[in-house]
Amino acid sequence: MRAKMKILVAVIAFNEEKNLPFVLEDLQTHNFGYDILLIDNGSIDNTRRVGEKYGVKTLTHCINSGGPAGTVRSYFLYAYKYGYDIVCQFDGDGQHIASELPNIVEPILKGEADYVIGSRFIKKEGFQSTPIRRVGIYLFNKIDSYILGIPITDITSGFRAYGRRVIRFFGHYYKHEIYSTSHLLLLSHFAGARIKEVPVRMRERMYGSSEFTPMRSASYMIKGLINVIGSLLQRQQVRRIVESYGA
Amino acid sequence: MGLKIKVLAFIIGLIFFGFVLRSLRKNVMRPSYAFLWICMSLFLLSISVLEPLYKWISVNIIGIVDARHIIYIALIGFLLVYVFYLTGRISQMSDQIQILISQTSILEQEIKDLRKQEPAEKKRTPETNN
Repeated sequence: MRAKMKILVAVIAFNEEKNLPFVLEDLQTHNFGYDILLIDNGSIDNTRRVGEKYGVKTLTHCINSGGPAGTVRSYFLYAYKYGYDIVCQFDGDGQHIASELPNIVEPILKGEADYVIGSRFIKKEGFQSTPIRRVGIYLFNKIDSYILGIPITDITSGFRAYGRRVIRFFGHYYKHEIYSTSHLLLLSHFAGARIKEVPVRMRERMYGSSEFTPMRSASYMIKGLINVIGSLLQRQQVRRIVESYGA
Repeated sequence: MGLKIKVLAFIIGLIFFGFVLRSLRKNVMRPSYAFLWICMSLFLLSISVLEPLYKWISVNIIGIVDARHIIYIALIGFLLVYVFYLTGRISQMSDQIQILISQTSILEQEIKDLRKQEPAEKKRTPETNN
């Protein structure tokens, strides 16, 4: 049964020409039979060419569609269109480790979850993020854990896997903007997805700097709180879609 | 309210109304967007004719002694409603743009795949004919 499952690894990248060769080599070395899709979110460097050089299918956004959340739409649409059973998000900055992919895929293969978050804070191994970012992560972990009713330790983790229920919902039924990882998680929960967190290791990015400067982190926290309120207000709409279309 | 102001409001209202109709005729503005502007120009036109009614509403219902203030309140109210409406439209358009960006990138990749297949098919065709 497992051999029939179509699994896609969506590498999201914005101006990552320096990190990307390492990321793609890592993914091609640790090949578990998953398809690789690079999503270039409107880069102005040679991100796209790096993807082509490594023979990876590349979706190139003609303009930046607004942070990592903007790329989520693309891989859901692609995965839904091409009938993938599982999609894994993998950051193009080199933080994620390809050999850890089976850890986030396994709970979906076993039928235990529809949405798996790879958390670096369960075993506390590897890169643990910057202190200022950890404050924000802690706050949103608490809020989302309360809403979901299960403990969440790494809400902002970009290392995630989604099953068919989530792919179908966001790839076909939900046509609105996905603001953040927290928004994505809460809507998936309202749509009936089973959420699970598994421990993973992460690395620090090799080249360049994170887009989360202290100012941006503060603004991210304020926007994040509004997003949580927005997500809660959308609960009925999501449930109506699920009930009407069996999404 | 003085006659001069009434005449001025009527003329401005008329010009405004003409502009909105012209925009509709030339497809510069969609009817859904023009609706509020038509209401606005009709309100300006009505000031000169229905001034006693507005005066009565402002004094007896809302409790504003100076009837001119109701015009300011109506105009500010109109602008707030319109800004709120436009914010909603911008949000909708952001959703649509995000979907279009994603769809375009998928189609571009599909075109690339087809182009890669094309030379192989062209090579195959003469062989098949032979």
